[in-house]
Amino acid sequence: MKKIIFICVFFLSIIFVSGEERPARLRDEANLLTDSEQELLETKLDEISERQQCDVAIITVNSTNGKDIVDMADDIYDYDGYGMGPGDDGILFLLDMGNREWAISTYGFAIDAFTDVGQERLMDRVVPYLSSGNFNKAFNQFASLCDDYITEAKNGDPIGAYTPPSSSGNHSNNNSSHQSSEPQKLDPFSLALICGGVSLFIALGTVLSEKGKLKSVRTKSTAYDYVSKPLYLTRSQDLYLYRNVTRRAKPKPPPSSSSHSFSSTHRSSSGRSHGGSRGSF
Amino acid sequence: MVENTDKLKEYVCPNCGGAMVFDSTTQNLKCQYCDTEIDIASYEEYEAAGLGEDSLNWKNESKIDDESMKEMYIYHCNACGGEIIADKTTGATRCPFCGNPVVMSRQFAGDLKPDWVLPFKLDKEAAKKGLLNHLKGKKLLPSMFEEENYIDEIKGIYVPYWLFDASTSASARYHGTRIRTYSDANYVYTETKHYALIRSGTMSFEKIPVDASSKMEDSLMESLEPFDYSEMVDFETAYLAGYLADKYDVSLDDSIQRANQRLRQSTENALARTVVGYSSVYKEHGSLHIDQGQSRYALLPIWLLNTTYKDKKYTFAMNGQTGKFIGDLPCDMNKFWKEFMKIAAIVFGVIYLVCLFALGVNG
Repeated sequence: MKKIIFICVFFLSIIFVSGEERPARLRDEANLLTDSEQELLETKLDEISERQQCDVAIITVNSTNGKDIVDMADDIYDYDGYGMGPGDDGILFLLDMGNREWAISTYGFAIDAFTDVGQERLMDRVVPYLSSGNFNKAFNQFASLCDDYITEAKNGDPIGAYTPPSSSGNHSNNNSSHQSSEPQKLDPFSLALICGGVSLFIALGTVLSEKGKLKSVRTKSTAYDYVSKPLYLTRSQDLYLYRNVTRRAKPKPPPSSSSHSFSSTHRSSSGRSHGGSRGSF
Repeated sequence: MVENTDKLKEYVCPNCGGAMVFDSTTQNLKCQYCDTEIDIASYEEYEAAGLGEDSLNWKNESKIDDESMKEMYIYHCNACGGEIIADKTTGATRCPFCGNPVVMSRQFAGDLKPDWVLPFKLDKEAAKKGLLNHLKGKKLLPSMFEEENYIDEIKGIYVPYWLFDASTSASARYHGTRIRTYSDANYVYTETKHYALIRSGTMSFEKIPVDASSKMEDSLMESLEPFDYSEMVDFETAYLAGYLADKYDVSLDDSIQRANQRLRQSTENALARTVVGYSSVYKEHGSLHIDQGQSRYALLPIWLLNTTYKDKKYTFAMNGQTGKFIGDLPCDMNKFWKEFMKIAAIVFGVIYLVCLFALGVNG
């Protein structure tokens, strides 16, 4: 009973705070979730969105009606009025069951919070559930991850963003010149020590090979010099027995260049710039 | 010791009556005094015509049994009458008093007669040269080897060998794997396919040599292989004149073990080499059957050189036919460490300077 009252108060407060009519953060047009799943997920999305002041929305459709899925996601975002605060901040996840495709559209603060690499990593943890048909799990995972991403971004450290090596010194110029001349700082004593070790190693190898030359008496374990008829195969059979397969997760490529570490954007039909990504499952 | 009434065989020069020896260059018997040369077949004919009958009186001798083999024999030199003390296996030597080359032909008669002999092709000078070549480029040799007279003795010896013919048949089962990797978006898959590989085959070998003299180190003799058997001839004692020769004292049955080891290894290796195209292979099971063919007795030519360094005896050997020279050499540990220090110092100097220079330029 207490719980129900709590939830009611919670909802009322949301309506009160938001003050205006907002598009639903979960629209399951493809009917992938049960009613109770829908209810719980929507609650979760609302909670995250309100707390973070950044819309997190999930929409499923059976068809894009011939539209490109990215355009469709952007249009839904723009024309249906998603986005919170003055920046219309938000992230929208669109799932098309017809082509088994998905797209993410980000706007405002979410463009920076969800970098290209960040989105890639995020979807790596969602797509397996989509592929296996566990949509409830996939969407919940998506919502939780979005929550984490926004939090990290608010802390100034978006996931997957390029972070330049932290320079503790005040003068970054000085710092870099220091680094390039580091080998020079190797003092003559340790240089001598290293050279000494290397030369002892080389010298030992040389004299040992010299010493090896002194030995020429070796037992013969084979008799190839005396073969009168070389091996004649009377039977040669390769029988396939069985196979086994092991798998290991691919190592995620680290951000190799700065271009991956930022959020790329594109222009939607409304003329606004969206971030986002797409993929299939 | 046994007083041996056995007559020694010597090859008497038909021209001057001097003792003749086998000459490796001309492959004939050559008189040491008047340089008369006669080919072996002609000499045998000449001798059979009655001139050399004295030396063939070995027939009434009692058969040598194992007991007496352990003892030394005393022979009397035909030339000077001096006593030649030889051990049980000696088949040819020189009289220690007059240097007359003698052959104990009885050692190689009847059942003891070798099937073949491979005559010496290289002489003592070639052996000395071979040694010099062998020592060349070896920095850690004790200085003693730079001097002239360090070799205790150089001996041309006909070493007794058993030559085995055999055919082998082997079967084996190997376990092989093939590994393939492929990947999708998230995973790298490693597929391992397992196979049973069954192989059977036959092989034949001819004249695998096994040293039949217990005096000779097996490893030393094996290192001298191979010999070119095509130059082997039917045994005649005349080839032994002027050289040392031993008769076998390792029995056929004992020698066969060594031949079998080499047969086994060779066949197994050859069979294993037919397994190709697999990432990993190991043998699960294998069997080998050896059909012993003929085994024959041959004398093969070897030059032996001995020297002593720090109270340890070092033996070098040269294949008397092909000139292949082998023999472990002593290492002068003083030189070893000196050389070590020298190289270390030079390398250190070079690396250190290069590093300093390179870094200096960088800065």
